[in-house]
Amino acid sequence: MTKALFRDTLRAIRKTLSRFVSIVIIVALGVGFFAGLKAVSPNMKQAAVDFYRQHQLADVVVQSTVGFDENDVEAVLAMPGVKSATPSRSIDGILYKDETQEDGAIDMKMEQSMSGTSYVIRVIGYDFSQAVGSGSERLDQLQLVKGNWPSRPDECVVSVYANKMEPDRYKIGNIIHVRGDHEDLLDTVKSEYYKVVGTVYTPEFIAMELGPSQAGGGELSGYVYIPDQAFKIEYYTTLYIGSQAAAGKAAYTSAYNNAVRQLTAVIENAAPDVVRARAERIGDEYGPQIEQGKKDLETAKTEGKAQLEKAREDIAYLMKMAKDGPALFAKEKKAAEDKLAKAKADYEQGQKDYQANYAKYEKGLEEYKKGAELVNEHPDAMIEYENGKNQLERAQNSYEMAKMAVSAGRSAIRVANSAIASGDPQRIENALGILASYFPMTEEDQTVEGLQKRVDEAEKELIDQEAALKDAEKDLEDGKKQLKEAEALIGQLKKFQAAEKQLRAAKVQLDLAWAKLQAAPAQIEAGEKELAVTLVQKEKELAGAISKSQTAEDDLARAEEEYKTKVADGERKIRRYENQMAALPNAQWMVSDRDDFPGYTNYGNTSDNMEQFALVFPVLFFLIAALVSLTTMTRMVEDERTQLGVLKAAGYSAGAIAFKYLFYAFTAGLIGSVLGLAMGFSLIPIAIFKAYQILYLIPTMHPGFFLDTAFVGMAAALISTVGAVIFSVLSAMRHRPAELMRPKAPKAGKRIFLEFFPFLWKRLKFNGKVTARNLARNKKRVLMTFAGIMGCTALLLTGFGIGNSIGTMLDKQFGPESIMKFDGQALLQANMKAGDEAVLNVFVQPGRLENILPVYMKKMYAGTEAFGRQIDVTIAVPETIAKIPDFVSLRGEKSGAPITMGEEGCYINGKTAEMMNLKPGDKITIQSGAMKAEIPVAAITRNYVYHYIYLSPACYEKYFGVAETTYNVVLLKLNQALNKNTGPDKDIQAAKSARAQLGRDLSDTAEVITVVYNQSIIDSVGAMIKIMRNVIVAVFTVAAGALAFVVLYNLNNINIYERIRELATIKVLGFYDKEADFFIYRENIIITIFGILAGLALGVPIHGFVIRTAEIESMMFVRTLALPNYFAAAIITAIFAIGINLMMHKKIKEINMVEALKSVE
Amino acid sequence: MSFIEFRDVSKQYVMGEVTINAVDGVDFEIEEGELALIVGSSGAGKTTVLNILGGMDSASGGQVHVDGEEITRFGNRKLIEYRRNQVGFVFQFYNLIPNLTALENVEIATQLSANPHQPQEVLEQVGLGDRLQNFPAQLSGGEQQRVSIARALAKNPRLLLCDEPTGALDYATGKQILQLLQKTCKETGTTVIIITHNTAIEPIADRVIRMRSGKISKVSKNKEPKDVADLEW
Repeated sequence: MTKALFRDTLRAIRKTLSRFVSIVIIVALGVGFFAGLKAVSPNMKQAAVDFYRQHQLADVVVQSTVGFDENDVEAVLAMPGVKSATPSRSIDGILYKDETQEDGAIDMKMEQSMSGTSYVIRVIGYDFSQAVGSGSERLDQLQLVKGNWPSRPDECVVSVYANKMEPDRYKIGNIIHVRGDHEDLLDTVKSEYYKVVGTVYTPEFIAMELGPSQAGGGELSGYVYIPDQAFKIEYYTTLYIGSQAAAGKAAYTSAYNNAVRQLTAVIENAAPDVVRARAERIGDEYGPQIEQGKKDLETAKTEGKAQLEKAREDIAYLMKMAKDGPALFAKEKKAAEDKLAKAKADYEQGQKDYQANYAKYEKGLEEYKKGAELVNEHPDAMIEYENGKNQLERAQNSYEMAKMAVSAGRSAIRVANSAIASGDPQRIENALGILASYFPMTEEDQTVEGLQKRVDEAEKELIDQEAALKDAEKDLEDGKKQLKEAEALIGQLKKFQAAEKQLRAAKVQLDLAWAKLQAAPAQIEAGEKELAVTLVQKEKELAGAISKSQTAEDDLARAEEEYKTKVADGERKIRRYENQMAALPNAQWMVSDRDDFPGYTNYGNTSDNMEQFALVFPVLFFLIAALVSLTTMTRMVEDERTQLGVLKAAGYSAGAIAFKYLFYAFTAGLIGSVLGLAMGFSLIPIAIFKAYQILYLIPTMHPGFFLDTAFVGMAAALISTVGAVIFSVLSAMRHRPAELMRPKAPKAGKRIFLEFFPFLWKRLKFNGKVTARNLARNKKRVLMTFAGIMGCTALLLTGFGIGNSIGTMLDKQFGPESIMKFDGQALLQANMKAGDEAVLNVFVQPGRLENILPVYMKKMYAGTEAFGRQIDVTIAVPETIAKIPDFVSLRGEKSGAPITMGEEGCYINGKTAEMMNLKPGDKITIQSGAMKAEIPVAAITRNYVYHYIYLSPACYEKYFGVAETTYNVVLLKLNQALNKNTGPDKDIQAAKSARAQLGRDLSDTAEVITVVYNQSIIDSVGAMIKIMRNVIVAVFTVAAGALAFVVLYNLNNINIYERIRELATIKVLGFYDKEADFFIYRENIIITIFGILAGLALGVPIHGFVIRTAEIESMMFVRTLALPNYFAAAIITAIFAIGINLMMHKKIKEINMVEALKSVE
Repeated sequence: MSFIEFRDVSKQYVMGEVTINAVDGVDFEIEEGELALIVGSSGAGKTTVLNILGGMDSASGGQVHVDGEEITRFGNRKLIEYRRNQVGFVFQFYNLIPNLTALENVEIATQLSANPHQPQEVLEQVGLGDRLQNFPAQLSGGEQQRVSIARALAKNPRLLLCDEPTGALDYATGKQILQLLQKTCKETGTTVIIITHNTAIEPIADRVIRMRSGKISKVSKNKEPKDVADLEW
């Protein structure tokens, strides 16, 4: 190639820059989409693999119904193939929001998850010294992104993802409040409040969906990491295990999967022994705790009851007060008033009495005065009287003595006389003795004679004495008489003395009465005042009692409520512990591998899907690129015919001449490819990765360069551009130089096919005829425009169709009137036998559950010999096959006709049948471990998500050799009220919380482990699917728009360029702008309409193809298109076409009539 | 006032840094029903005058009145209407639309006009009654130009503008075309303006406007114009 030719080429490029650019763009689009989409999957996977490696993602995670201790960890480490094991503690609680009320009280509100149930948050213990970069062997390591590691038991770190998606909750510095679901969180950890101090990357949760939880509504909504030391419990809840064999292998490869599968088998085999040992160890621990708990509860109950009783009494009193108050008050008032009246009466009486008494006193005083005079007259009367009285008494005494002595002498004489008379010496002697005491005696007297003598003498003496006595007696009588006279006077005096005393006392009393009377009016007044005050106070008290009794009632109600919940909580706790105890014999490990980790599998599938699209799109773009290059090149060659002729005449070889065009096309293709690769390898994977970062927490992706993809893309691009040139140049080169040098005659007008049908042709209006002829004249261009429109519509239809296929899949599987007609499933602790009343009774929930069906469900592997491998399937054996239509809608895969389930054979889903090419009557091998059965296919059923194979119990028992089928799952059909998903928000929320409550109640029983609702699957997976659908629709729309633009713009440009004289002429003739536009538009409109129709037709098979290639093994997309998809595709294409035509309007308007008509070239 | 009046009309083209005065201070009148010739060598500005008169180009200065209306003040839409209803064009290179038949090429014009002639009749008048369904490529140059004239006349214009209508034709054919134009002018009363560099045909016109270097050099009137048939050149 000479320099001149090279320069000529460059000039050509500059001159036809818009054409050159459009080739570059279409090539760039084709190569870019191809390379970009192709690179998405390896890039995304590599990003994940790097992330998993860096964070040492566990290969297997084991959970136990009874937790783990150090013995368990050691047992696991001893298993063959285990590289490392990391135990960890966590607890699922409910997130609360504390709101400070106006009065300073704190109101705790339960937070809601996105699906409307309570917000379950997992609190995970972590030793923060073992983070990424610490060199630790720990699995599932965290990496700090912002902030600090927690240093206190009430601090936590959250994932970057949560921090980004829910900034209000997880901002650094925020404090979150977690409370226990069934239990007190503080039993497990040291704090209910956690301050967010940092954000981290974690490999444990890479997706928006966080997996199931036993708390709340059964799904996990969030998680935080706290220091491990903040846990109070000894045991571990989770065991992360690393595989020896999988260590060097990349995730998402079959090598990795195989390695892990082996380890899983080892662990599952060893699990029963290890778990039994653990169950025994903890068995002892629980018993006493439960007993203690029961006791505590009883105490609490009694105390509570007593308190309530007291409160009730108080209220009764207050109530009575409130009720009897008015009457009581009136009575009290009356009493008080009476008392006051009496006091007044008393006062008056007292005054009267006083006056009377005073009169009496005065009279007494008068008498007293008389007495005083008498006393004055006889000042010594008293003393004289006393003396006289004493003398008299003394005289009396003497007289008496004397009288007695006389009488005694006489009796002694009598004794002596009788003794003498008897002559008895003894008696004489005695008589002498007696006599001697009265009369002096001598010795000689002591004889009878002496005695006699003595008696005589005594006789005489005695007569004397008796005479003296008689005189004394007379004196005495006189004395007595005198004294008696004195006594009268004395009596008067004594009386006077008494009167004086009385008078004095009366005076004192009178004085007192006087004082009292003086004070009485003041007292009465005070009493009146007091009464008034008391009355007011009492009235107030009465009013108070009424309101008090009301608040007290409220308080009581609240207290009763609290008491009830407290007791219920306590009882539930105990029941739970008891259930756990009862479940100990059923203790088991749940072994999961990465496929079960939330998001892991979806992430892989997502990236695979993108790869499938890489095959569909670019082919279309390359095709269009070739067509556009062909038109452009043909145009260019046509424009330069003369030059071509000159060069040919000058002796340039065909190759040398063609080289210019080849170079032109090659340059365009190359620039387009390089641009396409550069943008495709970076922009598309990054854009798609960014879009998926809404769903997945893989922090970084480094877009890679893939040589093979680049090569294929570039080759395809160059073949389509350069090939087009070769084609058009060669066709021009066939002419002789002279022919070439003459201007090519404008394409002659000629009759078109349609004109041979005059009845049709005549009906056409003039414009129609022109258009028809124009369409016929430029068949190539028309065809290409048509292809462009068709491609655009087909792409859009495919895009919307995929959206439809993916978007409606869940609804068709789980929604109302779908395949899965049940609303949820309860997983049983232990398999139940058919008709086991004990278990079935748990599900007797009037008003909540409508219907139930026990089912045996198990993940198994299915395959055929011809198929050569096995896929994951779920077999479902319903207890009663007659009940199946209420729970699962079995319909023919294609026909949709209802299928009645029979006893014999298995009912497999369409996707399985399609993959294995099975028809009814063929046999399918189903296997799980040592259990293996070859079962004839009874029918093929419609199903979209996962693979389900239905068997009757009889069939299951027959083919698997099982004696009696036991059931591990109970399908639930909810009452209408719990199943509301449409209507007012309030109702939906109410239904949601009612569902959650039912789930809690069921899982509290000893029989049920957990309850999963279909609605929560729809909610969680629905979000992901929505994003996926939007990404796909966006990608397709952009691609279709780009296609439509490049093709239509380019072709219209050429069209206008070629027909510029025509357009100038009609403008001179007086066509309005609009009429001139439509001279061009009319054909475009017709092509567009036909292109859209053809595109709709073409889109159907393309959509089918894309859907089938994009389908992942475990799903069957809805393969039909919805009517709105067609409309959307057609309308959007029309909008694109209209947009491009509007751009053309400017070009047409700017045509200069004078210039265009000047001369023929 | 005359049917057509040019008052001090000028037109400048700016070509890069050079400004070219295509026409400069042109003044002339043409009466209704006249056959007028604008004569001058190439570059004299005749076509510019015709373009301005035909509403295809705008004047830089001065006024042009047609039937009392100042077309130099028309906006785009009024200009289109003016072209559409008042003016018929005949081009040197015919400018027929290649994929329309002779009849259709006339129809494309008649459908625009408010008061058109029957396309078929007009074509018969120009002597092409038997070529109605032929495409331009199937017609000779003279026939094509006759189609072109028919297209212009069929609109029933008051003004027929012809830019070198015989320029691409041989003598005899050219003569036929001129005859046709003269006949049209006389029979229909249409004002016909022909641009030509051929001074030899001056006698056929009612009025001859000579131009040189963008200016009017001379305007002359033939009291008795000759019939084209009688003229040899």
